[in-house]
Amino acid sequence: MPQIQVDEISKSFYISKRKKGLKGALKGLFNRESMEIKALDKLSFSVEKGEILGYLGPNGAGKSTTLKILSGILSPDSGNCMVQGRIPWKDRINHVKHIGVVFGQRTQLWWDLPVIESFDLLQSIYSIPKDRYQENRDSLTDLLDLEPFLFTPVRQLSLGQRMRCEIAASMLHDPSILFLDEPTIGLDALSKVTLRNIIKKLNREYQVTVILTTHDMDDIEALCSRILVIGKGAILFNGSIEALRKQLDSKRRILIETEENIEQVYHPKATLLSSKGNRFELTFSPREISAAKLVGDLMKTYSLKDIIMENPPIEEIIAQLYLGQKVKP
Amino acid sequence: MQNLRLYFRLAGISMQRQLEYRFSFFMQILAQFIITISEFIGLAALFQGFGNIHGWTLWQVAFFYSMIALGFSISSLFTRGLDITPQLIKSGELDRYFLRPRPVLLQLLGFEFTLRRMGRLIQGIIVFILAVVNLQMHLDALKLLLILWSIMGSVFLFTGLMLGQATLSFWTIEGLEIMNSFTYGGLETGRYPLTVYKGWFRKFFTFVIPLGCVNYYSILHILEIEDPLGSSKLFQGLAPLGGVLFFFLGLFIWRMGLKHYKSTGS
Repeated sequence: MPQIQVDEISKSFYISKRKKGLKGALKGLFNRESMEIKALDKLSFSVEKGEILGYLGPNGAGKSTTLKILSGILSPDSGNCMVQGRIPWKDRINHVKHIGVVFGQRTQLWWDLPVIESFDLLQSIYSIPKDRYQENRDSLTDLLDLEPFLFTPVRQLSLGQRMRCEIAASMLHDPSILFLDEPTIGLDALSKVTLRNIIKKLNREYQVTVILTTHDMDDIEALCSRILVIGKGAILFNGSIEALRKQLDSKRRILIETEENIEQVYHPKATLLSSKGNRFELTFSPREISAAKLVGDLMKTYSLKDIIMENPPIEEIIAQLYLGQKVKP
Repeated sequence: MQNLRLYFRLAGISMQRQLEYRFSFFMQILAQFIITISEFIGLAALFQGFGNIHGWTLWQVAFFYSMIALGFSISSLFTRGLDITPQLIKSGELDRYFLRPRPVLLQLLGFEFTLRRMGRLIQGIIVFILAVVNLQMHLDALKLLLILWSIMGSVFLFTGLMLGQATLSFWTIEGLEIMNSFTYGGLETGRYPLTVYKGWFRKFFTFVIPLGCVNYYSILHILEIEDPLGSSKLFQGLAPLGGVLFFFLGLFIWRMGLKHYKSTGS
């Protein structure tokens, strides 16, 4: 049985429409038309223990709604959801003892308190046994390198430092599932890399299942064994990144550098995109010619110094998905 | 039990935070004290002109005034979290409280123990003492007990009102002024004995929002005054129970609010 099992959950919100202008506002005081927005439409998926699942979708696709349902904040209109045998929204207090949640844009620490005091408070809130707490706190401090600012008030931390503390804070009570909602948002390049390594380590060393939403495709490529893409409340794709690449008829790119300066590079099954001195950028469709054949042909015709193969950026692939080009599983 | 211990920790931390800026802290208390005591001075000035209102003397009214001030200010010390619930909902912060394995209400109450609101409490105590001295009251054990019981009733009542206000914000963030008119309006209303008001108004503040129960009837018992409205001594003694019941009604509504929040998330 999977650790998380989601069966056909649907959720709608109603927002009231208001007409423009003062007249509309006055009218709205007495009667309002409300509009139904389907945030989730019979969504089903499952997650196995120990996975790192990338959860993608454009803004407003229903990612946050899903996370809220999985973490017990929100109840769905219909459908079922079991997390380790619990129905999250029916058994909130018991459920949240076993999960950790980090919102990239909000904090769970106490703004005015030193980091360590926030941790101590969380020990009280989660009733973590003392020795277990100390052990976890020390090993997380070690792993996430928190020592230098453990006694600094949270408000004085940089965003990167704070995110590390947030993650530590969400792991103190030994959760078996970690929900990360845009954890790398706003971080600089170095902090992002650090954070990704941390997430990987946590997943490996604590066997914690990670569900990650992000708009940063590098996060996905670095971390996720599987991605789930949703749009308008329904699943667009569910599988590995490689599978996604294969299923989309995407062009690939090849960059070559020739020994001598030549006018042009030509191959009947490839298109020249750009040339700059002895460097040429070509694009081809793997369906028409395999990469190996193309490189072989080019090497026969020209003397090559360097070859670089490029996958289309994952960003482009996902953008295609968002645009409504459905992929068959 | 564990929850209670957690509450005291959270409250303790919030106090520590407020005491960090000591000067501004004392100034805030002083400011609130001056504002509230000037209200009372205004009341006293009124009596200078009229001598009495509906047969009530200044110090009798002062006693009513101080009793309701005590209940209101004690309740306001720990209900700041309910005050800011609308903001927490708007910003999404409230979700965090749902993600922790503790009752949401407990965490909200622990949000802050608002020390600066002691200004009103100090004012209440001073007016109370002035009234007791000027009325030459003999406070025996029964009276003291009744005083505590009345104050407790009004603490419960105002906390129930705050709960109602916070609950309403699960449905709408607009129109919370309506609730303000019950809390602050209740405070204003309770300053005078019920008899100065019209009949329907009296009934509203006895049976709907039982302000009269925690303030008027029990105080008559304490002041040993025959009720012009004709209530019995037994009823007067039991009346503050109305405040406690009102609180539990508030708690019930609060639970419904939480359920509603879970189904709408906003």
